[in-house]
Amino acid sequence: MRNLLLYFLIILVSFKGFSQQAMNATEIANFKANVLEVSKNTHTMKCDFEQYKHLSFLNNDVKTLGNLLFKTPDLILWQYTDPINYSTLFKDGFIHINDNGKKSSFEIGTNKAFQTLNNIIINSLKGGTFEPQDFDSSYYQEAAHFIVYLVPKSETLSSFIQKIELTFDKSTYDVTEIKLIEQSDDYTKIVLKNKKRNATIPNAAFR
Amino acid sequence: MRPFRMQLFASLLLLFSLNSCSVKSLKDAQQFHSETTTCSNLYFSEVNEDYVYKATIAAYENSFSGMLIIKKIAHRKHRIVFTTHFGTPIFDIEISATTPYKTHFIIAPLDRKLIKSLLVRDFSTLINEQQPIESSFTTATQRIHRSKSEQGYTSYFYNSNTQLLEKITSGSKRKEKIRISFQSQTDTKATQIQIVHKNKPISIELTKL
Repeated sequence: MRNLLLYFLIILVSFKGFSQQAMNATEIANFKANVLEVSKNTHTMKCDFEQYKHLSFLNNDVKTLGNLLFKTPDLILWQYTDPINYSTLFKDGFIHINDNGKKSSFEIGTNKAFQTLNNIIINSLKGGTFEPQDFDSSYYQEAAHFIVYLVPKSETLSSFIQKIELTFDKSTYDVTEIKLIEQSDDYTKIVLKNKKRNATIPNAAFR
Repeated sequence: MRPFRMQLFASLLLLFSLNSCSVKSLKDAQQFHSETTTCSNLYFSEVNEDYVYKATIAAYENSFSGMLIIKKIAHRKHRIVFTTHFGTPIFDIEISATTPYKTHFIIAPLDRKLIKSLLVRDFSTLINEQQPIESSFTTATQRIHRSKSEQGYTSYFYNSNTQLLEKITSGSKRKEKIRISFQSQTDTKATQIQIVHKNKPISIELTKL
C-alpha cells in the first residue's frame, strides 16, 4: 500500500513537470529579449499552415490548409489551398482578396478591429512583442515551449476574442502555434510548419 | 355592349386574371391528391454529420465569402454559424422548430432585428425537415408539395425520376419571395445550394467542403 502511494506521488510530480509554469520576471525579460532579437533579424518568412476551427458542438474541427509569405515591414500573403482556393493579401493599408479568381479589396484603416488583427498576425509571425496598452500579457513555459497569453483591452476586439495564445519553440523562439480563443471558448488554431526565415521573396510574389 | 355581357366579360376577365396570378412555377402543374401527409427535406437531418460549406454572400452591392457551418444539435434544432475564412465569427444562431431562435453571437453591424429575422427565416426554410402537405402538383419532370407557413406558402420540388429535392420556394400564393435550389447525389447531402431572394438583391451560394 505504501509503495502504491509512493508510485502515485511520483507519477503526479512527473505530470506536474509537464504542465505550464508561470515565468518569473527574469525569465520573461530573457524571453522577450530573445524574441525581439529573432524579430529584428527576420526580413522574410514563408511557411505552411494548418488551420483548425473548433466549435464545441461539432464532431470534428474544420481543417483548412495553406501557406503564407511575409516580408518586412508589413507584406503578408495568406493562401488557403485546401479545401478552398482563397487568398488574402495585406498590402499598403489594404486587404486584397482573391476568392477562386474573384478579386476584391478594401482599406484596413477604416476598420479598427482589422487593423489590430493585422498587427497581431504580423507580430505573431515575426515573433515580435505586443504593446501593453493593447493587451494584458501572461507568460508560461513547458518542457519544450513558451506560451504567452494575450487578453485584449479594447472593447471591439474583446467582443470576439477572449484571449490569444501564442506558442513558441523553446530552442528557436519561433512561433509554432497561434490560437484565437473566443468568449465562448471556441477557437481557431493555426499551426505553422516548415518555417523558412530570410529566404529571397520578390515583391511580385505578393499579389 | 349590353350591361349583362359587360358583367360577364368583367367576371371572366377577373377569373382569368386570378388564375394567371398563381406562382409561375406552378403554372403548368397538374394538381393531384397525395397519399403522404408530410414532405421532407433531409439535407441537414443527420445528427452525426457536420455540414460545412464555403459560403459566398452577395447583398446589395457587397460580396463576401466565408464558412457556413450547420449542425443538427437535437430533434428539430440546429446551430448555424458563419465565420470568415480566418475563423473569426460573424454570426452564431440556434434555430428550433418549437422555441424562439437564440443568438449566441452576431457582429455589431448585423445585430439588427430585420437582418436577424431575415437570416432566421432563410435558414429555417433551408433546414426544416418536415412540413405538412396542403396541396400537391405534378409537372413533366417534378412532383411538388405545397405547405402553408407563417410567411404564406412553402413549396417543395422533387425530381420525378430521382425523388431528390431540387428546390424550395417560399412566398405568398401568387409571389415567390425566396428560392432555394439544391444540387445533390443523395437525399441527405446537398453539394451545392443557392438561396436567392426575389424581392431583394441578396443571394447566398453554398459549396460543400
